Amino acid sequence: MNLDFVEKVISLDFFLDASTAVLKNSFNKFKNSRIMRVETFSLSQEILEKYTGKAALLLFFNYGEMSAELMAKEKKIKNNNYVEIIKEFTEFAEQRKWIKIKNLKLSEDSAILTCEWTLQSKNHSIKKYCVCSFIEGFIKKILSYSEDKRFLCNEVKCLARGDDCCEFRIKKQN
Amino acid sequence: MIAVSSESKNKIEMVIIPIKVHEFLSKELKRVIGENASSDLNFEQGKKIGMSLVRGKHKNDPEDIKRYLKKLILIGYYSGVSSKNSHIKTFSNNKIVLSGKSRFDQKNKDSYSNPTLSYVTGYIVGFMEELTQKKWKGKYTKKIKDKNIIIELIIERKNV
Repeated sequence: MNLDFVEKVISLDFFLDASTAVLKNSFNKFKNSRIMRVETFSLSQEILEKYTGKAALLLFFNYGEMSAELMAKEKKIKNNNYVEIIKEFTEFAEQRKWIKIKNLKLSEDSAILTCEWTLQSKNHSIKKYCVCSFIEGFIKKILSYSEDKRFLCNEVKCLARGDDCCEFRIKKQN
Repeated sequence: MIAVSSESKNKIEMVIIPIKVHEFLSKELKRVIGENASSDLNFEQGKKIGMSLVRGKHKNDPEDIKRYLKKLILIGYYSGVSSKNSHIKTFSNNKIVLSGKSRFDQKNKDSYSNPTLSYVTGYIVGFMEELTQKKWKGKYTKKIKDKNIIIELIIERKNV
């Protein structure tokens, strides 16, 4: 089940032609999740940034951590190798349309994840800072379930800052 | 200025996020900008989705319009309003009333909060505006009855 199907459902031709049973079943597969427009997500973030400044980024960082906890529970991640976790995360995030991966470089104690966009940067207005704190929080938290536990994750490039992609650097802490 | 091109006219880009995150985000927005502003925002966002469902499908025949509305109800026009118990209560050229039952659940108040119901109302108004190419307005009522909440969406033609 992927989100492309839901997007088709939302286009009218499909809406009228497909049987109701098919449509209902496809929506029911997203238990404990909610489908939201990317634009609504970005707009919510921009509104919160307007009123609370960069504190909003911290809030989204927490939401990322919260989502990572849910993923760890769902996928039963505990003391896995960090490379396995990163791979699992990228698949999980792409399925949910949180990121579109351009490149992933993995080494023994670090990784560079390059994305064409993230759910936060895609429709965000141009800012002087990186805005993808949800993904940062998610990666940091999900890696706390690895056998090494301590990792740093920083976004060094961001579409919303005018860069050509969003780039996350992940490094094992000593 | 937007970082990359936004969604096109005929394609809505969606993400799947955990319910918990969605609820926290809605609560935070409501806290920061207030319930009224949050409701207005939700109405507009709902309207966009409703319009996109029937973009380019203009109908004049009331029976066609009714058929579209029934389909929308069968799918469940919004998760907070159970489609099982929803029906078209009133249908005329100028006024439509949709009635639905939402389970009374203290733990999931979000499903019948004012911003959520504004979203649903906007959704139907957008749907009707695009389908009929006429201006509509909407409001909702909610009444608690036994362990259910009866939600009515009243959609009326503007300037009639």
